Amino acid sequence: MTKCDTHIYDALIIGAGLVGLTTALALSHKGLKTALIDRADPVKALAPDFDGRASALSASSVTLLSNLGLLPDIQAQLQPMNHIVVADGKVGAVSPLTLDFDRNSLETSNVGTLQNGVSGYMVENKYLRMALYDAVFASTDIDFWAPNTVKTLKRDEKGVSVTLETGTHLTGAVLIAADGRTSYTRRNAGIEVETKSYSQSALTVTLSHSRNHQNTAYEIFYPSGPFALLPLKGRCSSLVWSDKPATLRAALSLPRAALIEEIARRTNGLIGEIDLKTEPLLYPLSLQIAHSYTASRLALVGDAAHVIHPIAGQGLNMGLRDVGALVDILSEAKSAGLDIGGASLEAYGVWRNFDTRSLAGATDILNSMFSNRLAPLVHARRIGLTAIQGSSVLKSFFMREAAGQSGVRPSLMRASL
Amino acid sequence: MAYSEIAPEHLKSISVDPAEMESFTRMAEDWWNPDGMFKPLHIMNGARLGFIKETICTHFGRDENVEQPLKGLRILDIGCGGGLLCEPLTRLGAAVTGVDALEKTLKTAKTHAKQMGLNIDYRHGTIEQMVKAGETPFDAVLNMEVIEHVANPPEFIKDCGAMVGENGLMICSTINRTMKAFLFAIVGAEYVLRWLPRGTHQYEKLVKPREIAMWLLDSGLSPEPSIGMSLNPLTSQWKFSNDVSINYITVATR
Repeated sequence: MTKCDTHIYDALIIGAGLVGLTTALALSHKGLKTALIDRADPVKALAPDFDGRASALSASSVTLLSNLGLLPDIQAQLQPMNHIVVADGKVGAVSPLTLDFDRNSLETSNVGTLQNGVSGYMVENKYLRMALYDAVFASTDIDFWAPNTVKTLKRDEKGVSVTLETGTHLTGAVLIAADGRTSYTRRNAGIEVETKSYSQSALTVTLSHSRNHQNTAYEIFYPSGPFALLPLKGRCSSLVWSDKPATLRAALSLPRAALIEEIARRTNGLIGEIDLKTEPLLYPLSLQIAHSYTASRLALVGDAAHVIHPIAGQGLNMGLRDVGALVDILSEAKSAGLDIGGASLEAYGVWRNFDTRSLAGATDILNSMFSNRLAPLVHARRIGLTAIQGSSVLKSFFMREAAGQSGVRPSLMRASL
Repeated sequence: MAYSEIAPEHLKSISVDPAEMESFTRMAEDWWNPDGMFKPLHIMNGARLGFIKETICTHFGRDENVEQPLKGLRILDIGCGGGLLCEPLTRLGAAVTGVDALEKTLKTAKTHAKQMGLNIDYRHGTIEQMVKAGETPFDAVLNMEVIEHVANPPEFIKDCGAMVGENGLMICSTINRTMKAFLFAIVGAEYVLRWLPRGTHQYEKLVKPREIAMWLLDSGLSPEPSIGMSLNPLTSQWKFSNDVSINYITVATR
């Protein structure tokens, strides 16, 4: 191999999903050079049927994307959520005891920086991915090595070095694992995960419907799992139906009309007549948290570090908070002349660990509290809902958490630069 | 290079306290281990480097936001240890000289700098040897977490001061001699949290801000008011304040 085959970067990122792409872009904004490596072909990842999922974006996440200059590209695709209606349900009926987080509760609880009383946004992943790709391709500080795979990977005192399948040699001071819940990079580093598997799976599909969703997200807690309808642009909503794996497998094997019928029994007419807009996807639910966010010259971000219950729609938001925190740590180290893969990296783990554990714990408790038929618990959660409804302090806490405003905020998540 | 026939470790002198030399020799290989015996220094490093960079840039009218803001400046780091400050300051463009009385420590520093591809002038010796040898004074002299380990602080500061050139400056950081410092920096860090080996700091060798200010004046420098540094043990973040009761930094200019 000749010397010209070696490319030198500040950071090497493995995995070009939404979190990996955002990490590269955010680092380039702080003047750091990165290599982004992914085995998927970016052209295929841009195909309309590649990823039919949608994500919730908290106000902090939108601020981050805005600070990275992405807002003009995605603004038209951001569906605001003005209300979050939480209801206790039986199939065929929704309990009248509901918890309605609306813009008035926001204003009265004095949350502050949220604009126009919006508690968050929904966006279809494909639009976000397109905007990120455009910005990444336009950046001279990012080299996108895809489709390509890592043949050898070495982390030592000197730095990180990677040889790609094509023979190209890349070096950097730090390796960032953004390669998802089964992260090879994490396993290769010997970082164990703590897992709790729920006896639940989730079925996700985009629905089109006859009634206006009125910028409302519905979280209906059925005994076998939460059922969430999240508003998208136009008369569309993203459905996340958590239930027993057997129930969902059976639902998926139904003819299309019968599956629509099953879903309609659970939407209870909230959004009128429904139809399927995308292919339904089924995936198992689990809680998974890495024992450590960092190892020598390695940092985990997004699902590689944590997978939580989708009940609160915080998955991508947590990943973006990882990005914000890591980019602050790395750029501050760089500006102090430090080796960015050195001892300063540990501060990233300290920063993110508390946030992850508290949110993972809260969503886990929320899910077990609602997905239960035991009479005392049913009463407790009804009292709980009423208590939350009546308590402005608790409500503002929940709203702030949903808006991603608790904890120490990374610089890219503070008001526009 | 060494300055005399007798190895500095064995010199009975202003800088060198034989008991201190022995404990630092035992720790020599651990300098760059983020979880090792110098963990507290690693945690402190980002904050103190930020301070050093800002102070030097302000003093010499440099733009902090360029890639190598310290380019062309000569910096001396006294008691440089494994090079925790020398390496970053070299990356920021400075021509750095690091002096340490321990050969074993310097070996760690040299090996690490070579691994990182950094060119640093490491000297095995003491500050008084540098003064005697007629070394050219520096733009900035760093005296970080060292004074509490030396045998004769007033004379030591005088020698450090002699190495500060015209229009240059010296930055000193150390631990105050207060009950609070005794509780946190000695009892807390060495006995409770076990961040540092027992005996790393001795209460009677700690220095008060007014003492350091006096010694700096005696060496012909003008000290500025001391700045406090405090650690939040939950987040491992250091911040600067007026509270000089534990860790503090004093800047002095010529």
